Amino acid sequence: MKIHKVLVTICSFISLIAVFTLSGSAVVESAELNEPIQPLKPRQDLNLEKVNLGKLLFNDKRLSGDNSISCASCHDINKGGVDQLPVSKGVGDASGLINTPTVLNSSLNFRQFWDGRASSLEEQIDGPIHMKHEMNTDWPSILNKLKQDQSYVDSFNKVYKNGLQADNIKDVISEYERSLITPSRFDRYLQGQKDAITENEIKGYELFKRYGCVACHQGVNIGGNMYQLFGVMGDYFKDRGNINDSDLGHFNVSKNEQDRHKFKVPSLRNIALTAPYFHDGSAKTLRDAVKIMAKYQLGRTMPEKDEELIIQFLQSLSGELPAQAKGEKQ
Amino acid sequence: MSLRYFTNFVLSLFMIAILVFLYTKVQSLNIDDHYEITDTLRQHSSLNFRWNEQVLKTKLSLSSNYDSVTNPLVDLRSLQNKLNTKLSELSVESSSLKESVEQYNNSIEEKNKLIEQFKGQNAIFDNSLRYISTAIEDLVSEIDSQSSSNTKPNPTFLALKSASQTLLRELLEFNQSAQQNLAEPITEQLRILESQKKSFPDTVSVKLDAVIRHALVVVKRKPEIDSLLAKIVSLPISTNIEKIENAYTAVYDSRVRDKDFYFTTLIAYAGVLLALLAFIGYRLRNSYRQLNVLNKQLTVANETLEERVAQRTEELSTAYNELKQSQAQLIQSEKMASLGQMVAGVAHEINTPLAYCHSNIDLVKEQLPDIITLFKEFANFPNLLDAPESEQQALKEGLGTIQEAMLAFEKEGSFDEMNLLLEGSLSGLNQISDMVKSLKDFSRLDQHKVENSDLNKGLDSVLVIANNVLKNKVEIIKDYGEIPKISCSPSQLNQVFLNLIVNASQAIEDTGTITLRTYSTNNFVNINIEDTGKGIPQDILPRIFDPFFTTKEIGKGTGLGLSIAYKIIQQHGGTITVRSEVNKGTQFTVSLPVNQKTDFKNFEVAA
Repeated sequence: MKIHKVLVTICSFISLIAVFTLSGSAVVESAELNEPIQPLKPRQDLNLEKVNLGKLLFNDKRLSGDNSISCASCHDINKGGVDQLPVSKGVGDASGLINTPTVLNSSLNFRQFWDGRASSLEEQIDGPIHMKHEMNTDWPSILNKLKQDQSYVDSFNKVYKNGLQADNIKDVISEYERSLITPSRFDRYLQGQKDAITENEIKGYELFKRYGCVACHQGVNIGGNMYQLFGVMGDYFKDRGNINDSDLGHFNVSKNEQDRHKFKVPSLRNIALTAPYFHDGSAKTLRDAVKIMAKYQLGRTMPEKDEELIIQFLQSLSGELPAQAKGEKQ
Repeated sequence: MSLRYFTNFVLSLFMIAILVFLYTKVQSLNIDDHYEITDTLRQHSSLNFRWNEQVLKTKLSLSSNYDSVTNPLVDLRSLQNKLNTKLSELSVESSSLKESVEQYNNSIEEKNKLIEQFKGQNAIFDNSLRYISTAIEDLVSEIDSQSSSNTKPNPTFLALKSASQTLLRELLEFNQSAQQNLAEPITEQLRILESQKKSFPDTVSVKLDAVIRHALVVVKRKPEIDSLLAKIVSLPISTNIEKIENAYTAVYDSRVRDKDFYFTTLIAYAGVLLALLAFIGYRLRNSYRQLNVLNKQLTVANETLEERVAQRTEELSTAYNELKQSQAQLIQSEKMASLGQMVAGVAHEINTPLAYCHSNIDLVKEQLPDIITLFKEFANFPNLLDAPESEQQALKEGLGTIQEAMLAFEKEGSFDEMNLLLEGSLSGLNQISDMVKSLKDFSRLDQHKVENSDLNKGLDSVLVIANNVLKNKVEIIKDYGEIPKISCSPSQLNQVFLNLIVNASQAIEDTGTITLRTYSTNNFVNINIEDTGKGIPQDILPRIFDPFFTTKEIGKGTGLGLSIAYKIIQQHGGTITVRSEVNKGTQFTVSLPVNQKTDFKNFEVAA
């Protein structure tokens, strides 16, 4: 027992040293790539069988109660992973409560949904499936429908020991979503290809950093790794008015007063394709969004010239889907 | 017996089950699992440590994004899953372990929440801190440009300029220091600046507003962030990991003790089993030894058995030979018996000619003295011729006597009579001679030779022998066909025919006929003997060829006649069949193959 403790101590000591040594080298590495935004790399470890099966199901309207919509109805991967509406239309033309976030690169988000109530893609899927004004169904009904389809039954039997099951459906859809990674010109720029983006876009990026947008929109996904208060430097909701439950953000999940109006910082990848903006879809254009962000988040006024350059930079973030994720409109 | 096997089977199964149970108990403590769990716990420690480190680096702006603060949670979640899986695999029922894991998981959740707060706060704080110097610079340059446009220097502008520069210094100082009391004067100054804001021109007041708001962010968020960091660092993560480790170690130690116990038990049990095995082996060896002894005895018995069998076989063959001899004797005696029967008749047959031969010769002998007298007179006659006359008288007398005698012979016809008598005698003697020849033909006692024989002749000789039985009673009708000679034992066949003919005549109570028919069909010679006797009842018909079966009175028949006949015919490769109708007659048919291949050696048995 004593020896054991001594061993643990020694091990911790060694790991301490290792950590310091490694962090030293990490500083050197990040100095080379001393950017708050990191380049995007497609996933290489995906199960293609699952990805293909997930793609089929992602586009399958049988996942909704009245067979009218599929995942792709709101998350059109050819439209930046959204439907470009303020709020989506669910079954029976029901209106959604919140702006549809993009499915592209969603696997890189630290949590799912605007309010971050799902910790994984798999968990996220349960949301729209059961939501009354979205797909309005449940797994037993979906399984009943899909089990009529022999090709699904066969495919799932091939991939899973227990065949066609709700968990396995979620697994393949999530695997497909993990394949929806969109490296852009800007990533090539980050990787050293200096002419991958224009001079203006480079200037826009510098402004993006200087104005402090990058304080929250950073990391590989240019956002999607923290919660932030909407209205740091001003009361956005008071100014907008008409506050509803969706505006409460993470508060709805944690019931913690600190989390009122806190939202998951959205990724800015493909941002030029996903108008309208914000959880309420209130910003019709990118310029509106930049203005609101500058005012309420940064407490700054921005000359039109700077806005323009930042918008140009944001447009360089529109990426290309990998080959296996393309094709097949809903 | 099967119940005993079943019990033994169940017992051995039970013993094996105990062995397997103990073995699994000993094996259940997987040292790899143990190392994996302790290793996982160590990974938990180091990952939490790294997470803290990343948070601190972010706080110190050494890291430019929050991925490094966000991603450790993902790894930590998978580590938590791994730990939970491993611990549940152990199926440990330890409340302290469960509790400590739960505490640890809760502390991780708490840590995550704090870090989420930290990220949001720090992003804003960091941005404002970066921006505040720019904002103040902007404000100062705005003040400067305002001042330069006005000819005389505005004292409030100068005051604002110096106040804002002081503010920057104080804020930087505040940021570097951990002292909370520095916040109060800055906040107070910011309140003053806020109140003065409206007295400045719009261009200045906008810049001032930005400065105030960002400065407020710095002043407000700094202590919050510090307190968050303090909370994060002071979370009892290591303590909780240590608790898990202690609880797990307790479980592990108890498992090790269990394992040691089971191991000892297993060894002891294995020892007992080995002893049992040795005992069984010993028993088995004994059984084998006994079995060997029994086997040897069996072998000996087997060998003796062979000897005994050989002996018995010899005895049997002796008995068989004796039986064969007795059978031969029996057949012979049957033959002799039938012959004996015949001999009486034959003697009678011989006696008749013998009698009249005798009387004839007697009669001839009676004539002989007269002839002798005549011969004597004739012999004396020359003497009388030479004698004196005196003797003439005597000559005359002698001549007269001869004449008288010769006349007497002539008169009586004695010579004719004698001739007849002698002829009769000769024919009688011929009759006897024929009889003897037939007898010889019939019996052929001197030989068993197989020869080509004419069965018609054989039948004739049999009829001669049987004549005494048949005459005055039975009329014989011969219907002989042309039959080829066959190779056979004639004496044996004659015996059969005699037997059948005698039986036939005996079946005829008064008078009747016996028809003898011979004919040949393809490669067979058939002899048909049919009588007009009383017939054989249907119920005894199947038994007539059985040995010792007889319908005759005791002492009159041996009961072997027909059975021997059957056997003889069988040995000749032929068949004997019977057809009978009561009061109408019986018909025996003997069929014999012309080219028989019988092994005649066997005949000696029958002969």
